[in-house]
Amino acid sequence: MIELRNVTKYFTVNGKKNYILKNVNLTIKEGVNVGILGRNGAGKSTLLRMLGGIEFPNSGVIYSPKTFSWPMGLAGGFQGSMTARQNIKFVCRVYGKSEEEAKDTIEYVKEFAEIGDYFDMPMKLYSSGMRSRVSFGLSLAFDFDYIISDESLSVGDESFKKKAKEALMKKIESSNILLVSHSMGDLRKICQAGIVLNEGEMKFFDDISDAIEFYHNINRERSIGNRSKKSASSSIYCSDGRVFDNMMQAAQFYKIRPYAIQQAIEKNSGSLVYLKRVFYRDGEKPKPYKRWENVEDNTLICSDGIIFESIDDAVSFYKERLPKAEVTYEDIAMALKSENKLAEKIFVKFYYLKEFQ
Amino acid sequence: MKKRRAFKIFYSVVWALFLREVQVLYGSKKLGYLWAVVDPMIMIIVFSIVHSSLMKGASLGYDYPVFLATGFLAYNLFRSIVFKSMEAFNANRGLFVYKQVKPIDTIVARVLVEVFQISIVAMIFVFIGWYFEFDLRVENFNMVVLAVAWFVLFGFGLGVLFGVVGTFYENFKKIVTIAFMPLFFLSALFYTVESLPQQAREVILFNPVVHFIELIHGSYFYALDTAYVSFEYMLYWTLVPLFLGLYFYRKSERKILSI
Repeated sequence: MIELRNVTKYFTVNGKKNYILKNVNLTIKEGVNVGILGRNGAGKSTLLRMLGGIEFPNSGVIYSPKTFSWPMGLAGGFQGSMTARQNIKFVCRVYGKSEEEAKDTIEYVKEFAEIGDYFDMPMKLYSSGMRSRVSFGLSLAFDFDYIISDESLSVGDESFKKKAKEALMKKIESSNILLVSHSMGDLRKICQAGIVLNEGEMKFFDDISDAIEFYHNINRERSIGNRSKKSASSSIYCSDGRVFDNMMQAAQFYKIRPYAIQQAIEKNSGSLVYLKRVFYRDGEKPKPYKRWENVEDNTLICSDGIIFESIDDAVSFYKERLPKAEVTYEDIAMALKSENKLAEKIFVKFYYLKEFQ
Repeated sequence: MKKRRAFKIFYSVVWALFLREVQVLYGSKKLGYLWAVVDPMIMIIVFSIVHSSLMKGASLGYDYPVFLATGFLAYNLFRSIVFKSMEAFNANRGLFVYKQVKPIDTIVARVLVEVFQISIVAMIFVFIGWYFEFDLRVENFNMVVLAVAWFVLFGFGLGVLFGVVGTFYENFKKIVTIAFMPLFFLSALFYTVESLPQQAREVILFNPVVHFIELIHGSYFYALDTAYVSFEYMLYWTLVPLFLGLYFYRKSERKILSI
């Protein structure tokens, strides 16, 4: 059981308070796995860390008699000049395990991580995949009432992901989990209840499906809102010297969606990553080309020029624009995985922006 | 996961942190250990040469290199305790995800590491001194130990205070670093307070470090005394920063955790 009483949390940015939670009262019942949803920057990780007792609200109380893990799969607590064995020993000591227990833990993690001789080499020599193998194994080796996990299911290669997921599913037979994830599939599979964070408001749903639907609705409203904000009628200039009467014409010429140009102008000072060109409106000064700033592992770029924060964002975008195509999460995920990157229902290609730029 | 008593947790966390810091020292910069010996060694040699050329064989009643060694080692210990403590929160930020690790534990562990390290260096120095047949006799061993322990406590108090304040005001740490620069020359490390002219004596006794060094020197050497040491003054300087440091720490522990 976790109880939140009058919990308020904000971050002060440039003297303005950015609220994540405002006067929240909530009781999370015993034995419920909770998924946390929200756009990037909505405060999912902060909420997770507060529930886990590593961060604290500005006012109010979060109370729970249960024990909580550190954020699962987190590699930040490792010291690079120490070996995996030494790092694990450290965590065992911190949690008061005896030498005997520590030995068992080390054996378990060693077996789970499958990194061979690297296990006794300084961790700064590890690839990020090897690090997450160790840290994931370490999290599984401890018994907590609640595991807190922040996107940790999306690390490592396919075979490790599968193994990790299986191990986690087994683990949550005896523990509960609080999970932040952008994968609706994982959330549905693992969690019963859901929390959606959106612009300082928190909504709790007893059924994770309701939470996911609510989250999709928010995204839909948001993208419609964005579109109607600025008129698309003024002339559009491109860094290659061409001028177009409006956004639509420009989009037709370059075979991209008008929204891609709008997105470039509003969010990336005109630079359209897919074309590597800069667009600007009449009366504005052209800026030099720059790359997209907030590139995360999940950020996608589509061959129609649009950048999405996650597959789910893309799904809700195309669901709204091309309702007949009935694009699903799997369609885009498949496109990303396949050789030619093509999502067949809508005839566009998808790439991870990280690899594309 | 079984519940443990608060002190037991504190103990196991500090022990884990201590071992970790020692491991890191061994693992990454073996030179770090070497430097702890070489740095004061060079100082002692340089100051001894300068001193002997100035004094031209006049007798002090004690071995000047031993005098330097005691002062430099104690001062280095104090200095590194303050600086290591000041940086402890930042350096160990990644560990605060383990709920048991409280920020102050990282300071306690670092102080212990410094004491451990300087003890090894001191043993090496004793060995070298014994080999070269210096006069190593101690007048009041217990008092020397007490003075060093007190000095450590003084450093700890300052370290906590500077660490907490420095977490919220990054520039504060720079000010401390600058303030420490002249301290090497103003701490009666290579001279005694007695040997100074009257006015200089009055000024330099405002520096609390001088009292600690004088107490160590005066208790160690038969030829020196502790006439200028004010226990009261030392006590103020120990208790006020320690109290303020712990008070601010208590108030802002959660903020330190989530910065």
